[in-house]
Amino acid sequence: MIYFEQVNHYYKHLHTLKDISVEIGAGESIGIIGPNGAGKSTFLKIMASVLQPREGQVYYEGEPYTACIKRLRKNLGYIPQQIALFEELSVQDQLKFWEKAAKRRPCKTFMQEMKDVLGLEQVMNQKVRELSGGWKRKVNVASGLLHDPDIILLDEPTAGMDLAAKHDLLLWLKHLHDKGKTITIISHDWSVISRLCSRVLIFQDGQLRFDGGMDELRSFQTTLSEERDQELKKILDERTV
Amino acid sequence: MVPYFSLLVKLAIVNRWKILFSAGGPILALFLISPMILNGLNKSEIPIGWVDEDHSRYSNQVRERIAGQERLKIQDMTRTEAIIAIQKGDLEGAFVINRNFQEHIQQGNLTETIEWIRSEKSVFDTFIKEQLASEVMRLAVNSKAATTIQLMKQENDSSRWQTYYEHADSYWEPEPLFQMEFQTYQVQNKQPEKATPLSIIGLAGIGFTYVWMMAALTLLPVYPMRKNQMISRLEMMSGNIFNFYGALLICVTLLAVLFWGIWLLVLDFFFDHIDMNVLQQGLAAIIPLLTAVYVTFAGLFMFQKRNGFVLFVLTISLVSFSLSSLYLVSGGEGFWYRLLPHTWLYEMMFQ
Ligand SMILES: Nc1ncnc2c1ncn2[C@@H]1O[C@H](COP(=O)(O)OP(=O)(O)OP(=O)(O)O)[C@@H](O)[C@H]1O
Ligand SMILES: [Mg+2]
Repeated sequence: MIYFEQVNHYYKHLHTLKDISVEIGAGESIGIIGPNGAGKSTFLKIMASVLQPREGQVYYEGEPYTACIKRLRKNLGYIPQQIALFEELSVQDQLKFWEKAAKRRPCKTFMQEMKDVLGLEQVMNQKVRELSGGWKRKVNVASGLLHDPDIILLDEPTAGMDLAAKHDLLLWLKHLHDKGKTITIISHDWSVISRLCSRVLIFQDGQLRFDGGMDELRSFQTTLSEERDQELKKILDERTV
Repeated sequence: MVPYFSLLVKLAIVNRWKILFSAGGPILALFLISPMILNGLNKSEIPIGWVDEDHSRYSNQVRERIAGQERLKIQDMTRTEAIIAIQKGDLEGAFVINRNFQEHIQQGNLTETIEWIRSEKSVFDTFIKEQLASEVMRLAVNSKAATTIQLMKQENDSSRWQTYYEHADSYWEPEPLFQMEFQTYQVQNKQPEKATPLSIIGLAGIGFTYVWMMAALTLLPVYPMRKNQMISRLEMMSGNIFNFYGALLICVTLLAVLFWGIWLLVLDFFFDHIDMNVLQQGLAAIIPLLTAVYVTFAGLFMFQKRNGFVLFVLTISLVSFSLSSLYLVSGGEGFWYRLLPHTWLYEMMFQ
C-alpha cells in the first residue's frame, strides 16, 4: 500500500536516511526500533508526508505522494514524538477542536469507543496543562486518531506511560489493528512491539538493518558481530530479558 | 477555517487577563503622562519682559493689571537681561518703566516714561503695547483730573489730590477701559486651523509601535507550534495548513485594528479639546499599520528560528519608529523614508 523507493533524506549535510526501500502492506502492524538518532522519526515523517525525501519516491497505492497527498492525508493519522496539544484547553475542548479540524468527519460511536477504552472520560474537564505526562500522551494519541484513519503512524506513543496506561493504549491499538487498520509504531519498548507487531524494522545510522517477522529476529541476532554492532546487540538483548 | 477561529477565540478567552493587561498597561501609562503633555500643549502664553526702574506705586499697579491678563507671562528682569533674552528669542518683547515714571505721570507728562524693546519677529507684543498704553493712560488721565481740580480750586493741600484721583479712577470700575460685547462661535472650517501637535503625533507613533509589537507577540506561538510538530499535525489532520495561517492572519488583523482603535479612542478622549481629528486621521493610518503587520506575518516564513523572527520585528519596528520620528522633527528628505510605516502614519496625521 505504501512503498518507499530508494529514499534518501538529509538534514543539511547530515545523511539521515540512506537508500531506504521498503513496502508496507494494508493491514500490517509494523514495529520500528533502533538507537537514538538512527532516523526512525525521519522515516515516519516521510511516511506521514510531513517531510519530503531529497532523493527517491514514496508511493501510496501506486501513486506518488505528490499526486495523491490529499487522499493520503485523509486516510492517515500521525502522532509525532513530541506532545502537540493546546495546553490551555480542557481535554474536552481539545478533542472537539481536532474533531472539527479533521478533514475526515469522525464518527460518534468510534469516538465514544476510544474514550471508553482509553478512560478519557475522567479527565474530560481538566486542562491539558494540569494532566500528568502519561495522560497527556493518551490525549495526544486520541487527538490524532479520532478521525478513524486507515493508516496509523505512532512515534514512541508509550514513552512515559505507566503500565496501566500502556495497557489501555495497546488494547486500543490492537482493537484497531483487528479492524483492519495499518499500524506503524516506533518504540524502544519490546513489550509494546511484541504484543502489537508482526513485522519489525530495525534502523541504525540511517540504514534499514533488518526487515522481517518477529520470529526471524533470533537468527538476525546471531549474524551481528560483537565489536561492530554492539549497539544493536544491546537493543536485541533487551528483548529476551 | 471555522474551527481555527473558535480555537483562537477560546485561546483568547483563556488568556483574557494577559490580553486585558497588555491592552490596559499602555492606556494606564498614557493616563499618567497625559497631564504632563497637556501642560506642555497649553503653553501658548506670550512671554514678556518687565524692567521696572522706578519701583513706585504706579509702576507696581500697572504691572499687576497687566499680569492679570490671561495669555501673558510677565517676567521681571533688568534691561540688559531683557535685551539678551530678546536676542535669544526667549521673549517676544520687553517694557522698561523708566525712573521717575510716577512723577512724570502725575505731572501729566507721558513722554519718555516707558521704553518698548521688541524683537523684529514679534507679532504679539503690539497687543500688549495697547494693553499697557491703556493702563498708563488710565493713570495719566486720573492724575490730570486731580491736578486740574486742584488748580481750579486753587488748593495746595496734597492730601485732597489723592481723593480727586480716586474719584476719577472710580469711573473705570468695575470694568476698566473700553468694553465691547462679544459672542464666540466655533470655527466650522473643515480643515483644522492648527497642525496636530508634535507630542500627539509622537504618542500616535508610540501606539503604532505598540500595536505592531502586539501583533508580533500574537504570531510568536507559531514557533513552539512548529517545534512540537503541532503545525505538521494540523496540516495532516485538516489536509492543508493554509486554513490555519489564514485564520491567524485574519485574527491578527482584527486584533491590530481593535488595539489601534482603542489607542485612538484613548488619545481622542485625553486630548479632546485640541483642534484635531485624531479619529479620522488615525483610521486612515490602518493602511500603514496593516502593512507593518503583514510584513511581520511574512517574517514567520522568512525566519525558521524564533530568535530570528524576534530580531527581525524588533529591528524593523524600532528603525521605523526612530528614523521616522527623526524625519518628523528634522524634516529630512529621501525616498527611503517612504518605506517606513511610521512615516506614512506621520504624514497622514499632519494633513
Ligand atoms: N530538524 C532537524 N534538523 C537537523 N537535524 C535533525 C533534525 N531532526 C533530526 N535531526 C537529526 O537527524 C538524525 C535522525 O533523527 P531522527 O529524529 O530521525 O532519529 P530517531 O531515530 O527518531 O531518534 P530518537 O530515538 O532519539 O527519536 C539525528 O542525528 C538528528 O540529530
Ligand atoms: Mg525519534
